[in-house]
Amino acid sequence: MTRFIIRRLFYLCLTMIIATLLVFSLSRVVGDPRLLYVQEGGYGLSEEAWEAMGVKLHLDKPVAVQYLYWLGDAVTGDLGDSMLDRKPVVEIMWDALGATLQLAFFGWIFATFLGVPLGVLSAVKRGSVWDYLGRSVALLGQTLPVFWVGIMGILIFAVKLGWLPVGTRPEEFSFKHFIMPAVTLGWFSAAGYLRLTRSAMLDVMDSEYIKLARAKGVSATAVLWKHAFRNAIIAPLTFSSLVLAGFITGAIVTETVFSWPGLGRLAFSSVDDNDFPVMVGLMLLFTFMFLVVNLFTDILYAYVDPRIRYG
Amino acid sequence: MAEVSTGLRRSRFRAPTWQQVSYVLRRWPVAPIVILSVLVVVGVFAPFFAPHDPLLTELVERNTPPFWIGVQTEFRLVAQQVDKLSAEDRHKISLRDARKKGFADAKVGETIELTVRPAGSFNHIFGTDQTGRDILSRAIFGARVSLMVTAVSLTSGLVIGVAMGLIAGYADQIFPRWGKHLDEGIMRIVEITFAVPTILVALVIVIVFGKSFIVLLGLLAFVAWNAFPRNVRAEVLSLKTTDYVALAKISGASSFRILFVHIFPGVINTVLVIATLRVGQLILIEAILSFLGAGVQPPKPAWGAMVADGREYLGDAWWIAFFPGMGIFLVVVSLNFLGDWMRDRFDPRLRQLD
Repeated sequence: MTRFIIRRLFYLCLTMIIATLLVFSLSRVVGDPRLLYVQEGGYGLSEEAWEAMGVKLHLDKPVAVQYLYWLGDAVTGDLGDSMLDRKPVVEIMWDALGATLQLAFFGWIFATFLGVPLGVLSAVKRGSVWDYLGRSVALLGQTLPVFWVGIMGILIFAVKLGWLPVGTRPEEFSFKHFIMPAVTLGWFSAAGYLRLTRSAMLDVMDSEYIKLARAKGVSATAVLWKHAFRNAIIAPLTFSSLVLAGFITGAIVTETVFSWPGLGRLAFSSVDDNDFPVMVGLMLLFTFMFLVVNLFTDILYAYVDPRIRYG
Repeated sequence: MAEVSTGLRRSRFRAPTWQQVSYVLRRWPVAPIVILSVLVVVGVFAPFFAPHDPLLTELVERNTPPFWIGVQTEFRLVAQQVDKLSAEDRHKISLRDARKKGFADAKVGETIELTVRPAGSFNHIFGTDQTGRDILSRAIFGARVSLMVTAVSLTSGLVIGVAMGLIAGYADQIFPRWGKHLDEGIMRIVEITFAVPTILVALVIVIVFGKSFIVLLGLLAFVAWNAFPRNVRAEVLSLKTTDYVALAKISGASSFRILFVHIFPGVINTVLVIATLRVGQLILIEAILSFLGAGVQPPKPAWGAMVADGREYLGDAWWIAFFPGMGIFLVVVSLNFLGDWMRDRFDPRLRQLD
């Protein structure tokens, strides 16, 4: 187990280094990274600032050394200043993190509590109304564009019916404001959970030990929840990494639709403002979060299923 | 003689029974094929099908609803003076304005029925947007843009991805000494591209290289390629142990010839299925990028960007955002059904993909 974890950790570091290399080489593609400031749609730099930046980024040294300096800064939490308002990128991201985490939490709750039970239902009552409902939800989740779901939600529930507020997240907590963004964000993942639960459940229900349990007279409820569900839930449990991948794209779109003051909208506005440092910071942060969650699910998976550990 | 000929004539055409129709509908993905063919034909011949110029702005006709929606009127009380900013006077109209709107004999104190929004007409079937551009025409030209983007990026992604998969799977035969490492290296790269969030890389690249069509094509090709190597490689690994490949080798065929003449035809099914399933994702990603303003640039119409436009006018004109979104949805659903159907038919082993 320890060897497994060490291997995965090493892999995480490797991927992170490649991600930083990618970002770094993108910033050097134009030659001098300061040119990003003075390009069309840039912000301009004063003579002194130009010089100061050259010193800070060690532009007089070879590119490989520049990378190491930059990497050192990044690891110690210095990702430079944003171009738009010259505030440290880390500070800007820290301010936006809370809103995104809250939204992601509610989105995840929605996805799990819609996806897993409906998946079980549609597997157990195969061919029934529930199955059709489940399969349509799965299909819609996979094919409806996230931003359109959000916008149609606003149109129906806020503009036409007036049940839910249109506005963004208020200063103090209000559950009503979370409903639509959370549903929009969780929609795609709910479909993912549903399909996974359904196929895992169908697999398990078909296995020999379930037949044995039935044959020896275990009650239907016990077979379902004690024998089948416990084994079927492993796959959806470890699905979290894919959920997170969906959440990263989803957060950018959802937060843009609902003007949610989180990391996703920061990504949107930094594209709009051509704010390279902020975007780089966001990419590194999201990649890191993604890899960490991946690591945890891998460990969880290996813990639950020994075949993975030694595979 | 005559009886025989009538018998023949009768058997020439028989209306299909309901069972036969439903059998065909179940066996063949009719609806997806129809939707996609309509899309392709309309998209390719967009200038022929579009009723209006997609870029022509007619401010007089802005926010015209779709054809089935009638006139929207409101009752207003005619008053001498109206403070337009106050909430109390919202239901009033000044005498001068009323006269201007065509109520020449309006008097103070009278209630008039004012047209707030004109009725929809067949001139603009799906209505117009905030600057009076015809939505149907824009959607048609948007389909054309989407088609082009996905076709180009999928083709280049497919060529790169399949080549990578073929090389990775067959590397140890071509380069006996270090082929294994090449295989390992390629698969590692593929794995890492799965670990980095695509859309963020796309946004970083857009900032560095600017928002342009070429950048978008490159980005989507990058998104498209990594779906192929893994499955193609797996297929090659199993095909290269077959007898006919061994026989080809014995008869002296070169590695290159074996790979392309004997192995490649065997992976085409897999490639087709993955490609169909990928197109839907590409269209969605293109729509998301355009929605975020990082994809197809205005004034060029794109479905994602049209939805983004409509977001601002939801209260007045829902149709601006509705129709392009519906278009994306229909196309992606059709591609999904078609992909599933092809998978079940050509390569059932890929079922484990989802």
